[in-house]
Amino acid sequence: MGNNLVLGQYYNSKSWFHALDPRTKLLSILLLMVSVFLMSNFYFLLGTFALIIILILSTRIPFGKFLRSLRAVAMLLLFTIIFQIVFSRQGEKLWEGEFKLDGLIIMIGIILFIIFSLTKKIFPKFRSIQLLLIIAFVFVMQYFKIFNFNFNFFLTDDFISYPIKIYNEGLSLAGTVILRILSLVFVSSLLTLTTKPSDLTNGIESLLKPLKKIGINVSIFAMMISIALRFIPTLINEANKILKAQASRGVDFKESKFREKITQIISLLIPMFVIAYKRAGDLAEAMEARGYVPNSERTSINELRLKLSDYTVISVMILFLSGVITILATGLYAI
Amino acid sequence: MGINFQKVGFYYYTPKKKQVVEYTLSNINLNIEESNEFIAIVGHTGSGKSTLVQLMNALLLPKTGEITIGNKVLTKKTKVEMKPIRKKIGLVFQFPEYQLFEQSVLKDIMFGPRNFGFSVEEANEQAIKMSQVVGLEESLLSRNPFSLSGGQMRKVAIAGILASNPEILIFDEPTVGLDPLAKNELMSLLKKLNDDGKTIIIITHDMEVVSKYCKRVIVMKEGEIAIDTTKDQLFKTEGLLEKYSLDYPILLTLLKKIKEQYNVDLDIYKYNTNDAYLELVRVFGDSYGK
Amino acid sequence: MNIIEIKNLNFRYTRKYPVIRDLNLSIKKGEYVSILGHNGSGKSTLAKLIVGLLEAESGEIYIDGKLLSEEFIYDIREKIGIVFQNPDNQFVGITVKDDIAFGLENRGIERMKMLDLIDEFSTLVRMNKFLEKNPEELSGGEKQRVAIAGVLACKPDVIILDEATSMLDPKGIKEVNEVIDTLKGSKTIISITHNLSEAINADRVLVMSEGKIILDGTPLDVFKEEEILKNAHLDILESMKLISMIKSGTDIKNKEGIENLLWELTFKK
Repeated sequence: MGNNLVLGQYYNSKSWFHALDPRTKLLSILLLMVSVFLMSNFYFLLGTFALIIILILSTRIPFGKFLRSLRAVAMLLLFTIIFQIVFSRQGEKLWEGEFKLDGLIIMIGIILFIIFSLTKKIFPKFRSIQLLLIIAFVFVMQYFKIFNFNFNFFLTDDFISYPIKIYNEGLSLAGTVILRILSLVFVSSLLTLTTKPSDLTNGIESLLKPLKKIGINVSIFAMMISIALRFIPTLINEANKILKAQASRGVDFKESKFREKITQIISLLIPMFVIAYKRAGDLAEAMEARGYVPNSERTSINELRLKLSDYTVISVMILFLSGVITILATGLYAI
Repeated sequence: MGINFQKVGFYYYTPKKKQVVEYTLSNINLNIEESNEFIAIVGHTGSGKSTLVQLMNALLLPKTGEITIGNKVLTKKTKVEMKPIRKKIGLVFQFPEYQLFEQSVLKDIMFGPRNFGFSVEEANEQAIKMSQVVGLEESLLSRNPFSLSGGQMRKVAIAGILASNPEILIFDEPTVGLDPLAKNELMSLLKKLNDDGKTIIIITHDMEVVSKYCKRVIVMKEGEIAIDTTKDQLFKTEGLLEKYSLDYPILLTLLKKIKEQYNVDLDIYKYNTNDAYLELVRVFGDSYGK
Repeated sequence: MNIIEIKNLNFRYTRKYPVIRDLNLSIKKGEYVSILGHNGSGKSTLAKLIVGLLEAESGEIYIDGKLLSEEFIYDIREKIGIVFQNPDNQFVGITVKDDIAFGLENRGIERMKMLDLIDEFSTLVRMNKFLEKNPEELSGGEKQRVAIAGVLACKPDVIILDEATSMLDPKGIKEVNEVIDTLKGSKTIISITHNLSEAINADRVLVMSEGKIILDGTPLDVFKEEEILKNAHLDILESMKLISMIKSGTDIKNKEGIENLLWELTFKK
């Protein structure tokens, strides 16, 4: 169970992509990412994105898993879109409008928001939807000028007024950015969903081997990552046990007093550290007793072998990237 | 504050669509008195013992059925204050020494009581009292808990739970990792607490402990209560121990062999060496062979 | 031929208390020795000294005739394997297969040979169907069996079990002891324990107290010495307690018969 949380979400649907050498996947994904960054034409990006979707579909992993990975960047995505659309001033003007809120509407909005905050216990479900409804309501009121008083008093003046101009380049820029972000997120999910963490580590270690020549300690680094991966589920289980033990001693994690929070965290962290410290000592002894010498030549039970499919995929990716670079360099086409 | 389980079931993972629920515990019906009971919960690893005791102090809520602790009823949707329950039902986990974290032994023992609303003076008093009860020397109270030996640390942890003065005490494998003498010391402590009126519940694999100290045995199997009976009934009923793959206590085995060998009317259900010896004297004494 | 020879060994962790005091010990090849002792008697420290994880203050340790020293430490580690108490804290690999392979990788064994050895020894400990499992999916007993397989795969002459069963449930203890039994005779086994019924299985029992060996003999000889065992803070076998009561009492007519029966029941192999 702990495996799902942090070790990434390896989903074994046994596709051709899963079967590729991790190094191939690492390199391909890297090459794809570089290509995506180099391109700026909306239609080329769309094409690349389509290619990525096809790759994803071929892995037979449920698409929902990829969508879930978007959650992390959803805010960024939304913000970028709005920013680009609203503030870009290049190209042809497509639409012009005005964003305004008069004082009365703002006041009503604030009152509604206060009611919203206070009724947390009465209407606990769908909080975000409630909030969205309030915002929508405010704008609707403004747009339809619901409160159209004949007399003028200061609250009916526009407190916020900003001209919104949407230009076509803004739209296409927004589109470009969206495609880039989506491509990057999907491509990295592609990597983590189709590769076991241990294979990933072996792949990285293998790729970084040349660095040994300039004195960087690749094998120790790989051993450290491997041990960390091994112990993450164990640590999660132990943290749970400690939380339960402290809860049995009266620690109430719902208490929000600041001082109490500090003690709560300490009551979890110190035992974790103590366990980790002892573990490190025991593990080091066990490894030494089993003949481990850091930096010595070791063989490996895991063999990474490149097959025809690997060579093919890498070649295709290299061609793709070279193509992109060439076109860009020669200015042949506004890619 | 007795504990009562009515048709309680529990599972850890909410199933996704079309998946069947995997119950860790099902159909648990159980009644525990608030004093004087000494119950052993036995069963293979994975039979649900740990989950069962975590339901007893409201660390977990039942997914089906209801649990009554004292006058509070807990069901799936309960939003009751848990602290009062956890104060009255003390739960000591396996390797409890891992829960220590304060700067001094005394402070750590005081941690529980302070959380449960004891004043500093009350907590201090309780802490000192309990450290004596578990057999910790006074000189250790000001020391850093991590400078103590493993056995001493375990005593500190137990004192920490005792200090809140719970009525029912639950121990998950209290003797694991202890050497035989420390084990005896700990079990004597539990016996004393029981003699003083507390209900003690222990999860254990050690049939020697069960035979020597416990009065009632609950055998768990695959998430259900296979049998809930007195210690005597468990050992006396033919074939029951084999049925649940439980070991025979050594004394029982020895007495049984003596009885078979000599073909005598020996009461083999003796749970400590003294009683066993007296029984041997009764049978093999003056009246033997006449 | 003594596979382990220890002469005048002394060791202390801090400057104050000596943990091993002038210890002398010889162990023959193929012996199954059990070392009993209360917590703090020095038994685990002795184990670590033998495998060179700790350096003695003074005295000598000879493994198969070779003096244990910094120079030869790696050769000596080829000959001795050790399984520790905590099943999690010695499990290095991400999977069972990776963990058994660890020792072999350290010795530069070629991959195909590794696969054979893993197959052979995982089968010996009956974990061959679990090769792709993560340690989180295994019980304590299963993890310890994997540890034993990992040690055996490197083909040591001696295997030391440092309280390898003290954190296990009865099922796990049984599984581990079954594996150890299969090694009797082919490997020299040193089993450090405070489980008296495990010690009975051995050919020879050593009792340590405060850094010294205070008893050395067959299980029968050692468990007779109640007074010494009591003073060494060790518990006494239930049957021995009973025997002792029968012996010292006068109320039982056929004392000897019953005593003998109890002896037999305790020490029959």
